[in-house]
Amino acid sequence: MIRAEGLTRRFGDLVAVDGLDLRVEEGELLGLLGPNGAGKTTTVRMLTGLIVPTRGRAFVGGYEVGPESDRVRRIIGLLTEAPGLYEKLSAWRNLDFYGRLHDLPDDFRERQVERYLRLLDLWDRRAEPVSGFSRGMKQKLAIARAVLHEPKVLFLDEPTSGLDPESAHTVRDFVTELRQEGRTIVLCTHNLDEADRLCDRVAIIRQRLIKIDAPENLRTQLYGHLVAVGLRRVTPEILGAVRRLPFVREARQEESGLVVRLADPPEETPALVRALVEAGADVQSVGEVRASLEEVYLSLVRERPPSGGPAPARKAGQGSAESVVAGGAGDLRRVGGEAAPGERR
Amino acid sequence: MRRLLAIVGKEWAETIRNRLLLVTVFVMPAVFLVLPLVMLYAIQSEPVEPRDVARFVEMMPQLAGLSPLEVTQIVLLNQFLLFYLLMPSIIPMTVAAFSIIGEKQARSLEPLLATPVSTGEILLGKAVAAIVPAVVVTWVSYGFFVVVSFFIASPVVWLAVVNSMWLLAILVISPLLAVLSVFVGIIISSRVNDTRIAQQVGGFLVLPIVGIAVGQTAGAVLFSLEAFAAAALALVAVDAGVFALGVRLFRRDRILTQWR
Repeated sequence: MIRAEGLTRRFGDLVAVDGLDLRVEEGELLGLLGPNGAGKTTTVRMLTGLIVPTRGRAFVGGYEVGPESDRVRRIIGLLTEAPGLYEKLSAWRNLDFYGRLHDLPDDFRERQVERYLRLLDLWDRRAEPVSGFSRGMKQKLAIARAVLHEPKVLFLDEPTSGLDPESAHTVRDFVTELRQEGRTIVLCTHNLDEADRLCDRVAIIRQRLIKIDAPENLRTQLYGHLVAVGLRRVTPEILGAVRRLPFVREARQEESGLVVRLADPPEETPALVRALVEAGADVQSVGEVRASLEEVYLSLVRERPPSGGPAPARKAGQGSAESVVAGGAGDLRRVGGEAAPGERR
Repeated sequence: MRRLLAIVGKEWAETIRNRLLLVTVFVMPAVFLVLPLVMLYAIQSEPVEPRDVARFVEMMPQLAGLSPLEVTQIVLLNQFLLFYLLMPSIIPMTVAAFSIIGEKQARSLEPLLATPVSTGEILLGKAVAAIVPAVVVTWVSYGFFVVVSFFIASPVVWLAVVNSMWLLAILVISPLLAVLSVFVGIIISSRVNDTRIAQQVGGFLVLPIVGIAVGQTAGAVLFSLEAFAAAALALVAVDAGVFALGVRLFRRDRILTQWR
């Protein structure tokens, strides 16, 4: 549904986006992650036909951005970072205006305005000027504006930024509904937990694409399949017994037990536990160690300089599997007692 | 066309909710309407001697044979009617500046530009929304002035208000000034983020009109149909220039990357 080939945008000497290649399939929800200034907004602006690429091409819904931007804008909906509403006008008037800009027939437009105002709990406030709305209400209205014309492709820039937990929850539920309706969604966010929960895949960019994959795969790629075993005591015999198991790729002693790298934890964990018991270990807990998307993100972003140039020499504790496991062990110490969100499930 | 009308409707809906803007749109016409009528009426009770108006008769021989009071009223009316041209010079610029700077401040331009509406439709919609009220207010004020002065002034003075020169000014030059004003407003608004600054910078637009009024009082400028026709032609050329510049500035890429 969305395809970018070598998409580049320069502003004078500044390269905002540099040779970005991207594919988003129909019905997919792609998270666009990256630090401030990574080029997320510029990428969205290019894909929505708001600004022209300096180099490269992009297609949205089969239409080429640039030559066919008029057609692109008919099939997309955009939620900008700021709600950008007309504050002196009512919620109804704001949506009605956008419905007219999208050439919606009168009856359909009225039905759509009512439908989304009701869906987002704004119906009772429809006649009030938007200036009196809370941040969350404005954001919901801006989302309604983006979907009013039932676009096939949605670009959502920080949809839950600055919202209270309840409003953020409502917005996330709504995004999930939109995805279930089969829309293709590009979600720019700094909220990695949100990206982890909502997105089919995430693309981490910093001027250019660093990595794109499903959150689950990214987490696995960072740590591999690690199992943390809580033991009352670790002896050299126990460690040796574990390391001798053919399916164990790596085993390290940690403060509260062992961290073991396996190829297939669901299949191999029972055998691991049996071996530990046979070796005389007192097993207190067993759990999979999973990297949070935040850890994956930080690991990848720190490897790349802002300009999108070559990666610097790796520092100790960054990047290599071994050092990441060591980092994971640090997390293990934290999760040994109580699991932190996203680290151990 | 539907989108254009939607933009015009939205602009007007916002304007009527902006008290400051409404004051600008309606107070100035009210002043320019009431003040000359009051003076026209008040001056009738003031004694005017022939020597007081001799200089004007010398400058405008067509006034010879009129009473000193009539000469005074015609000179005053010419001055005030010139100020009627300030309305289409100031109102559209103010409305356009409020509109565009308002959109910049509310950050509503980006979602607007992400719709199928063309930048030409946005530009034209904003221009029409700013020009139409200014021209209508100018025409209505002038019409009201013509009717009231019919009852206050003598027929010869009244004819000085509705002659071909002033009809050309009000019916042709006013809209041309409004077009100039709105596009100057758009150009200024692309560079500043404060409506007050836009108004101050745009204020320079009225200086030529004020200068002409002062020049007429000083005897340096003489009003004539030919002079007004030449001014209208010059305005057509200037309007074409500022329109081209406005269209050039009003492109999606420029608005989002170069406007401040």
